[in-house]
Amino acid sequence: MRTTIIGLAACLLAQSTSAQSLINGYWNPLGNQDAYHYAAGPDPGDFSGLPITDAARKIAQQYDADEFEMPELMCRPFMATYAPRTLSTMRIWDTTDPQTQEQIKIETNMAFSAPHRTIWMPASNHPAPPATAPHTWQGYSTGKWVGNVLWVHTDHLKPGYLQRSQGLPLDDRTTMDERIFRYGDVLVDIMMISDPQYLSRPFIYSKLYAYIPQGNMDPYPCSVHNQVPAPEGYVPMRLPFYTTNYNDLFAAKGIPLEAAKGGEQTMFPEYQDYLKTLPPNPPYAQLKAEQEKQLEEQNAIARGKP
Amino acid sequence: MKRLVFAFVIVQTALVAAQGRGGGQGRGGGQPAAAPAPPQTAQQAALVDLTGYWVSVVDEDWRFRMMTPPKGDYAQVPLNAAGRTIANQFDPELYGGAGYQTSQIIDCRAYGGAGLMHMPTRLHITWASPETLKIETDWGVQTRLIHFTPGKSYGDIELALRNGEINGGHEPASMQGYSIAMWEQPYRFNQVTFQRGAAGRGGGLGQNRAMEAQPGGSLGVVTTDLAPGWLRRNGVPYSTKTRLIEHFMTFQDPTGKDWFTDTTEVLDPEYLNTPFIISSEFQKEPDGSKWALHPCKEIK
Repeated sequence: MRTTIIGLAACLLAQSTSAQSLINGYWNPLGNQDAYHYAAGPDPGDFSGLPITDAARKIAQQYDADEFEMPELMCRPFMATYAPRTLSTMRIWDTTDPQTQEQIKIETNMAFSAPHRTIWMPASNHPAPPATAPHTWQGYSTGKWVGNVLWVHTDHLKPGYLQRSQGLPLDDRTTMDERIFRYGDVLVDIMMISDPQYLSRPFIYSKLYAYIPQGNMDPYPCSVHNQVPAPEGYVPMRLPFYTTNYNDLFAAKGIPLEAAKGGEQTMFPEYQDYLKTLPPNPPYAQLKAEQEKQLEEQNAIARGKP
Repeated sequence: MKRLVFAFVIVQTALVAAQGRGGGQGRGGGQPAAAPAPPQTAQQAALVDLTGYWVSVVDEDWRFRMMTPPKGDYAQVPLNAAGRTIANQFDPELYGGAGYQTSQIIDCRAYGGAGLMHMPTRLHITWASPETLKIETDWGVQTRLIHFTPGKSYGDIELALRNGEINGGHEPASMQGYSIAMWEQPYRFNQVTFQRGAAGRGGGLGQNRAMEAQPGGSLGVVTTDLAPGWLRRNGVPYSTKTRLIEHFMTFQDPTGKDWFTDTTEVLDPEYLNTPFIISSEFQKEPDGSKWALHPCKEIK
C-alpha cells in the first residue's frame, strides 16, 4: 500500500516539472539585426549603446585585435555570453531520464569555435556550486520551463569579453540570465548579462534564429599555427596612454567620437537630442595620424628609447 | 489506508478536471461547468499587462536607430534591386546637409508602422476600449491602434494569417495601417502541429499533458494596409503591400525591472527578397515624467 501511495505522489510530482523538446534542433542566426557587430566583429573603438563602465573602456582602448594571432589564444573558445551572439549555427538537444521521461539537461553547440554548453534541468535539482568551484568558458547553467519559455541562469564564468575584436572585458563575477522561446520557426534568446565591474546596468540583448529543418554542422577542429609571422614572444598590446583605437570602417559610419565612448546614457531616446549638439568628427586622416603617432611612441618605449 | 488512497485519487482527479476546464478558458483556475462565463473582452482576457509608460533601450543596431546611417547603407536589410533604387534617392540636403546623420531631422516615413517600434522612443500604452489597445510614441508622435476581434481574444496570429482570416482591405492605407491582435497562449503539449492553449482532455498512452494550462503567453499582432514608409531613417523603403507580424512578450531583468520585447517580421514582396526580422526591447517606467514630444518632419 505504501508503494501505491508513493507511486501516486510521484505522478503528482511529475506533473510539476516539464520535459519539453520545443527548442530542440538546428537554428541559423538571423542577420537582420546587429549583424555588423558579429559578422566581421565590431569596429575598434565603437562602444555606442553599450552600458560599459570607465574601467571597461580603458581596458578596451588598450586592446589589440592581433592577440587572436597568438598561439596561446588562437583556440580560446567563445564564452557563453558571446558565442550565441556570433553569426553561427546552433544545435540544441536534450537528454531525458529513461525512467521518468523528465528532462535532465539541455545542451547547445555552436558551429564556430564549437562551444559546448550544458544547461542542467530543472534548476531546483541543481543547487549553485560553491564560490570556489572552477570557472569555465561556458560557466554553470541551470534552467527551468515557465510555460513555453526556458529560463536559464549562468554563473561561474571565466573572465572574457563582451565584444570580440573590441577588447571589452567581462570579469569572473559575470552572470547571465536568459529567456528562450520560439514563435513558429523563429527562436528568440533574450540574454541579460550582468557584471558589477565592467557594466553599469545589465546588457540586454535579443538574439534571433530561424529553424533549419535539415540541420547539419561541420566539426571545428582548431589547430594552432602561425597565421601572421611575428617574433617569438611577441605580445600584441597597447600601452595605457593609447586612446585612438579607430579604423577607416568606423570613420565611414559617421558615429560621433563622443557617442562611440558608449555608456548607458547612449542607450536612451533622449540621447538623440544630445547627438545634435556634438561637433563633427575630425577627418579620418587626422585620427589616423594621431593613432600612428601613439603607436610610434609605444614602439619607442618597447625598444627602450622613449 | 484504503481511505487515504481513495482520497488521493479523488484529489488527483479533481486537479486534472480543474486544469482541463481552466485550460479551456485559457487561464489558470477552473470554473463550474454549469455556469459558463460570458465572453471576455480582450482587456479582461489579457495574458500580459502591456499598459503604462515604456522606453526603448537601444543597445542593438545603435547606429541605424539613434542616428541616420550614411546614404546607401542598407546593411542587414534584404533589399531587392527595386528597393535599392528608391533608397538611393534619399537626399541628405533635406535632413540637415553635411550633418544629416545627427541632425535629428527625421522623416515621418521612418515612423511608419514597419519601422516605428525599432525607432528610439517612449511608448504610452493604454486601452482605448475593451477591444482596442492604443500605443502612442513621443518621438515621431504616432498612434497605433491594435484591434481585437470581439469574442475571439485568444488564437495564433500567424495561423490566422495563413488561414486567410486576416486579409487587410481596411482602406485607406495609413502610416500605422490596420492592426489585428490575439492573445497567444503557450503551445500545447503533444500535438502534431503548433496549437495554443490547453486541449481540455488527455491523449492517453503517456501523452496526457495536453490538458494542462501553462503559465505565460504573448500578444500577437498582424498589421496590413500600410502606406509606404521607411525601415531606416536613410530612406530604406517598404511598400503598401507590406504585412507586419509582431509578438510582444514580457519579462523581468535580474534587477527586477519589467521589460517587453517586440519581435517583428516585415514581409514585403515589393522591396524585400526575404522577411526582415528584428526585435526591440522596452523597459517600463514608473510614470510619464520623461515623456517629451518630438514631431517628425513631413517631406514629400
